[in-house]
Amino acid sequence: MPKQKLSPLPSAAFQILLALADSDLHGYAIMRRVEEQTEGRIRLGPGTLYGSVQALLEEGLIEEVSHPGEPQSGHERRRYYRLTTGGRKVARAEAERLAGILRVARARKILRGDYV
Amino acid sequence: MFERIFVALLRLYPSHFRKVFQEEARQLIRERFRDETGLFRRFRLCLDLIVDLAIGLPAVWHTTAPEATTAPVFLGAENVPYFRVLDEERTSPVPFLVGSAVTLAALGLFSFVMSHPPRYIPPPGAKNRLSPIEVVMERLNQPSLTGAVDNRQHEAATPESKTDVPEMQPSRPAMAVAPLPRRVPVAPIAVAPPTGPASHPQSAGPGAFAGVAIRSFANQNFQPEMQQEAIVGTWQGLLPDLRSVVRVSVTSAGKVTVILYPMNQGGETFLATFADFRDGKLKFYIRSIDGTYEGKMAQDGLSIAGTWKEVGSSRFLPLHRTAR
Repeated sequence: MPKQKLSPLPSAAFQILLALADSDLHGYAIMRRVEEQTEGRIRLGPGTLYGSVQALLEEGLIEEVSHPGEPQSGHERRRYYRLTTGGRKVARAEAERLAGILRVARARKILRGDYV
Repeated sequence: MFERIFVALLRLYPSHFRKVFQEEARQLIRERFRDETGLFRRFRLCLDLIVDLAIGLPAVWHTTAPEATTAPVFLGAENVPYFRVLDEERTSPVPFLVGSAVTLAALGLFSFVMSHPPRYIPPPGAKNRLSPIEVVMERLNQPSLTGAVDNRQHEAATPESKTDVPEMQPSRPAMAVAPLPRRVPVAPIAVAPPTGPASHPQSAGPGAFAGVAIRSFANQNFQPEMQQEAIVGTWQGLLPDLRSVVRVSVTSAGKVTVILYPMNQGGETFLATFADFRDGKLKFYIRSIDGTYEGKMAQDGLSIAGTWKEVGSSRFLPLHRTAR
């Protein structure tokens, strides 16, 4: 039985999809972008980051791309990752799901308008 | 140093994962160590990597387990068990060597611990309380139930010959004592604290001590030999590892009997197979634990210099007279 790696979408994977929404990034840049967009709450380690990247690659939500400024061979060559169309849809669906939860929280007066 | 450790720990990830991402992960760790300097940020980085290892490593092993996609290896016949090759890498001899070394080290440690049992350590705040061995000694010092009954009868018959024997608590039968053939007055045994630096429990460390109490029954018709009269009294000695009490008594027939009370055997007692005192030498042997004690009484009759021999070990065990 194939493993359901991204169902439901883990938080780390969702943050990686968001980080790749507007530009292609390599692993370390993804980690920094996630740290920035979560205000330092999430700092991805190598296991979590590349475990999620591998799952996203296998699901076709991101793809590896070559970067024109990087050498094409050697140990220092970085892998850059790009959000695919499917990945964008999944990220949008996850964001809408979270927005729906947010609306409910506001309706129940758990959250006020200060957020978002 | 920490950077090297965390880079080395990347080898814990699955091989097919390392093939693809090891170099990138290594580079990520190096760049984080390069950028995150200062005590606080470096500490936070190490904490991040430890948490990542604890959470990410099992997750990677769980989610990236290889599928058995290669053709099964048949052994040439149907209905015979077969297996699939999951990993194309040859197994390195290093895991076998490391596993063997760890196993040998664990076995060695286990053997060492088994051959060197930890000493008894009293709980904190138990300075003024009785240790288990002292509780047993206290029970040993109480007169036997039979002796107490006989004593009360003796007191009723001759009130003027009242003795200082304390009454026995019926609910606390300290030990089984064979009924004496005659009514005998029982001499109370008071175990005094060990005297002298060599026999003080604190000087011997936190370990429990074992005492030897030798008790006699003064029978008016009993005619003890001079040798056995010389040993009549209470004797104590230190035996840090045994955690046992040995009780030696001399019956009305002049026979020396020895009972061993180990503290860690759930109340089980051991009767000496052989016990003797002659020519100033005390000797007893307990077959079930293969333990032997041999000692010689000093000229002043106040101490016995002897040796306790147990399976494979021999310890000097001096006994000191604490009461006559």
